[in-house]
Amino acid sequence: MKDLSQENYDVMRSKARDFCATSWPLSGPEADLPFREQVICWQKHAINAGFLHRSVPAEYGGGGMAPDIRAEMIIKREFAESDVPYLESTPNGPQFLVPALLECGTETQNQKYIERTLTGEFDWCQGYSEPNAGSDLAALSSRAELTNDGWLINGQKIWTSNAHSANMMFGVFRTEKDAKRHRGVSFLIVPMDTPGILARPIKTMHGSVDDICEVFFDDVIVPAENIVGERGDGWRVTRSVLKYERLWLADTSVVRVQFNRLLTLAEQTLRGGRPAITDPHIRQTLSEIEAWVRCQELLIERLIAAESHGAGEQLDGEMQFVKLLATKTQDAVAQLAFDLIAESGLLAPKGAELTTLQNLPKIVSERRWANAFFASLANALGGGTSNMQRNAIGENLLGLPRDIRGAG
Amino acid sequence: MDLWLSEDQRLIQESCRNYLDAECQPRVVRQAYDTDLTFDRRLWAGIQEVGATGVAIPEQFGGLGLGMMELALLSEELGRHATPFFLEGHNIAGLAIALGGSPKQRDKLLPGLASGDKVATLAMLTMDRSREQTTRSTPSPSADRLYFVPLADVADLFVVELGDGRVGILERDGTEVEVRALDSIDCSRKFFEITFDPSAIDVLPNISSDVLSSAALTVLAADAFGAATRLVEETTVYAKTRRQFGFPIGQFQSVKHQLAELALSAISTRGLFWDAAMSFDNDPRASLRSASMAKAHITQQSMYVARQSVELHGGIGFTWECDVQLFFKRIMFDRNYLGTPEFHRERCATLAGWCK
Ligand SMILES: Cc1cc2nc3c(=O)[nH]c(=O)nc-3n(C[C@H](O)[C@H](O)[C@H](O)COP(=O)(O)OP(=O)(O)OC[C@H]3O[C@@H](n4cnc5c(N)ncnc54)[C@H](O)[C@@H]3O)c2cc1C
Repeated sequence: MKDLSQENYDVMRSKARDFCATSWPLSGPEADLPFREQVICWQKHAINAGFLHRSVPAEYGGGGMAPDIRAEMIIKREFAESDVPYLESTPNGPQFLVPALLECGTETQNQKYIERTLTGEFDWCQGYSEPNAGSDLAALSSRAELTNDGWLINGQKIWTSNAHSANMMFGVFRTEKDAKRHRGVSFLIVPMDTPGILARPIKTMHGSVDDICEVFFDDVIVPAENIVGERGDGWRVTRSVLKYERLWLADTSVVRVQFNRLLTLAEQTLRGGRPAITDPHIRQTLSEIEAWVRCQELLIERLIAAESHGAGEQLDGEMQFVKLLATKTQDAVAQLAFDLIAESGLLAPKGAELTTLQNLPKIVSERRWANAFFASLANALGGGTSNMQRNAIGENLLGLPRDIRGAG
Repeated sequence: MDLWLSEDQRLIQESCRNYLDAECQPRVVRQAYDTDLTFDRRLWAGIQEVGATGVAIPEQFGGLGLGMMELALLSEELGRHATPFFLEGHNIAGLAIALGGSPKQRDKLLPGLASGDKVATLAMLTMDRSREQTTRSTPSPSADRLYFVPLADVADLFVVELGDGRVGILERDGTEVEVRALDSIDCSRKFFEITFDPSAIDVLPNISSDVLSSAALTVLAADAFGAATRLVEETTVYAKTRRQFGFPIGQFQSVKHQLAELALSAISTRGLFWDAAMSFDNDPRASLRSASMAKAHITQQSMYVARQSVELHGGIGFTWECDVQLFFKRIMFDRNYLGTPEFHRERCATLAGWCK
């Protein structure tokens, strides 16, 4: 990895800022397209200008540049501070699947999926969890059987984010009858318009029917070539995808922006006629939350430094803290915001969809902040619960004796 | 600023660790607890020999000519071994004179401090109970008495934080300094009260008390980091060996999860003191906020780690015999000396301009 000098990073920051100011909203005929297509157009512009998906090879529609996490962080920070729609599509495809495909996919698959995923044409949902396989994912029982027509899939997934709006799914299915648990699963790609698929929204605790679904498979057939990796090798591919999901969670540009918005809320909320931030308790709590934010930022700074010295693996241990750290920070942000908005926090949240990491209110909209009170909990569950993170830290980092593991 | 240790820095930390692993085992620390001993000449002589008494003093005066980052790494190891006798204070005093002394002061004082033939310590302001809890100040302008001064019995030189933002020095051989031992909890850094003639103070012309604080807070944060990570390691080892109900207690999930939280609380804070130290090396006058943040957060989290470590050791953890107490008390000192976490959070808020 080649590092730019500080000066060049400063240039990059101002270029990114200019790009944000001029590229969105769209102009000309593009501005008349439906919103979703506008997002696709904008993402294409951002890739061409060298701001998005920089290190994905050019032949698959990326920027074809050498990886440079620092540059990516700078760009994301600028994007997150502005109004550009860089987080409008879910991260599932571009952030998790694409790097995993680059690790485990075939040339044909990479040609077929990567570019259209980067532009947002393919919008992905992740099919892992099942009613009886949550934390214990290896207990999954939805099966796929190889027939002359392709994979014949039957079973059910649950908690699938965005399944109702996504046009593609990747997920794990049991394909090997005789192999036990994780050894018997394969990683498959399933277009959501395939006959036999039913995605039914689940109403969440904050009243949204736009976030998660249960997905039923009834004699669904997908082509045989839709397998990524070998038969029975689905666990390895899944772990690769989850690895990138955790890296994405470590995206500190988002945490910093989130903290800045909390600051704005504390400055603009009045207490006894004065800004709440002038209350020592509030500002000291803000200092404390900022220290958590810094821990995460500095961990990533250290990772970047280590990578630039070719020693990224030195941080493998400490990187295991990232998800719990992010959960802690979001929890603290949500709790302080709930304090600040007081009674307004008791009115039903506006904009029912989950206010997750990526779209916390930019302006002081109290009812959107109420949403954060719920959304911060989703982080403790999705992608592996906090308890499972603690198991992993205890066993992998500290080397404590292993826990009871699934039977069979 | 690259948050990365150079090969030299890694070697320095490693050699500090190896040295203290060999020379500063808990039984050495315990001599400070179980006797009246306040200074261990033998240990000090060894530290002199490896050059650790002059880490941040320029080479021309016989020091190692290194910076705050190296001091912080050394301090992490001192905390990790609960090493007696406030070598951190001696080193910060040397740094203060190197940065802020006049040519005459530097020439006169630095060689003795670098070699460790002369011992220096810090005499800093304490929390002022008569006013709001979150201010610190001298008792009064005519102050001739300071409390909570570590190492005062053997110190040849005091670097004194004055109430007006300046920093001065007080030399033992130029004036009468009366020293009274205070009954201290952390016996690895026992406190004293000193009484002196304020007119004997010689001001350091080129350093402010903010810069001095920045340096001192950074090493305290590093010290607490070292002590807390040591506790996580010791407690993990204990959880692997102590058996109940037929299993190592570390196999019980509640214990495992407690330990995972302790590891997170202790280890994930490393960047904070690195950042404070590197900012200091970059510009000492611009590092106070990161130093305050590191001190507040790391010492607070470390105290949590220490309390939980006692609990996870069961009854033995509550005893004098168990080494947990050494690190527990180390962290108590790091947390409350030079301002509580609350004080420093307030300062972070002020320095960020949130309180206008
Ligand atoms: C908003 C949201 C979005 C999601 N999106 C997706 C998605 O897109 N795709 C997808 O596949 N899944 C998704 N999930 C599912 C998520 O990954 C699971 O909810 C999670 O893995 C937990 O599984 P479970 O719900 O079956 O709970 P369980 O596994 O039954 O866990 C219940 C409780 O028991 C604890 N527990 C379980 N086993 C252990 C153990 N061994 N040790 C200690 N504690 C344990 C858990 O920590 C938890 O507190 C989503 C969930 C949410 C809330």
